[in-house]
Amino acid sequence: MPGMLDRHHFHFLPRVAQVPGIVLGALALVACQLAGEAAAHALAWPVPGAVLGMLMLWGLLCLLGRVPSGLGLVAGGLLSHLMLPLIPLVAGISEYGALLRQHGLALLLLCAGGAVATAVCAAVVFSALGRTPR
Amino acid sequence: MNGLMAAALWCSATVLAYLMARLLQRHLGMRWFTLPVVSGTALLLLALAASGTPYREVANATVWLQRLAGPAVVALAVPLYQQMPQWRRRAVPVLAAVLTSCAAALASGWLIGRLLDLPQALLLSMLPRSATMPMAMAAAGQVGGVPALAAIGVVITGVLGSALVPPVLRCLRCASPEPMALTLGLVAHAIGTAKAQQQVPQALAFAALAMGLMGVATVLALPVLVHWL
Repeated sequence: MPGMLDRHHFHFLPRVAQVPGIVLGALALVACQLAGEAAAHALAWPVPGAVLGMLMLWGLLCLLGRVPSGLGLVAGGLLSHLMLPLIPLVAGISEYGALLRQHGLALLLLCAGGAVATAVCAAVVFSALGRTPR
Repeated sequence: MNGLMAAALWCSATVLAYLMARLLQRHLGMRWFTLPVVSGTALLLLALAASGTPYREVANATVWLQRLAGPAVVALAVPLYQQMPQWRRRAVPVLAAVLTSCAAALASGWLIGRLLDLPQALLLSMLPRSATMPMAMAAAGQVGGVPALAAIGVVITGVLGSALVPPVLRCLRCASPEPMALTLGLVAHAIGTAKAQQQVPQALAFAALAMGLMGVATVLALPVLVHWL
């Protein structure tokens, strides 16, 4: 049947010309993460290396002035499935059933109270500073 | 079962649970129980219970899948960079709001946790609850908390926060789109950003930006705070 194998059926597959850019983008992400981990280790600061790597990539993008298309594709793909790699980790709650049952109400109170306190601070500060004449 | 087989089996089980969770979300709409991380985890736990596999085994088998969270966090730099033109004009109020609300989130969590007499590991896991989930889980793990418990705090805060922020801001009479979107992103990370997309789509960039900056600020401040305490 004509049209069965048209390109638009395979829009989720990268075009051949995009592959080197995508590989480079993925390598850039991994390199930034490793550099971030090395920095966290060197500074003896218990922060996740990936977050320092994110700041490094942000700085690099600011220097570069644009997002390379391959990096944009990899980042978009990873970010649209951000929750997938977390699922096996979150399943670890199965080992804390008793703790969660015992403190469940306290957790709800903490999260609700904390959310209200955070929201009040955020809104008051932003509105107060944002109201200055532009 | 050898290691490679177990890895293939449990990684595909996780992907399957995740895909089913996404389908569920498409059909039932945005509710707290259709968040892919909630329903996907529930489905995976169901598979664990049905097959009688201990969690440790699955945790070890899915190590490579879990490691994708690192590059995904690094990838958050791309949208943050792309949104810069939209908030550069308001950089001072935005950054001030991020820093104060980060301090408020950490301090209120610590105070309420102490008042309610939470055990130390649980309290530490609750502190980064306003950061986006991959960052909060990693940060909690670094300072002696438990990533899985941190995820619970993140989900509860996201759900309660995105419900509480609009009425709180109406009480404070600052419910205009920009503060609303910013506060939703600051308090309730991705869940709040989704709420902002429904309620104040014109200011969505503020919510997404607030989520990213809040995650960074929380992750950087948490070890300092824990060191003091």
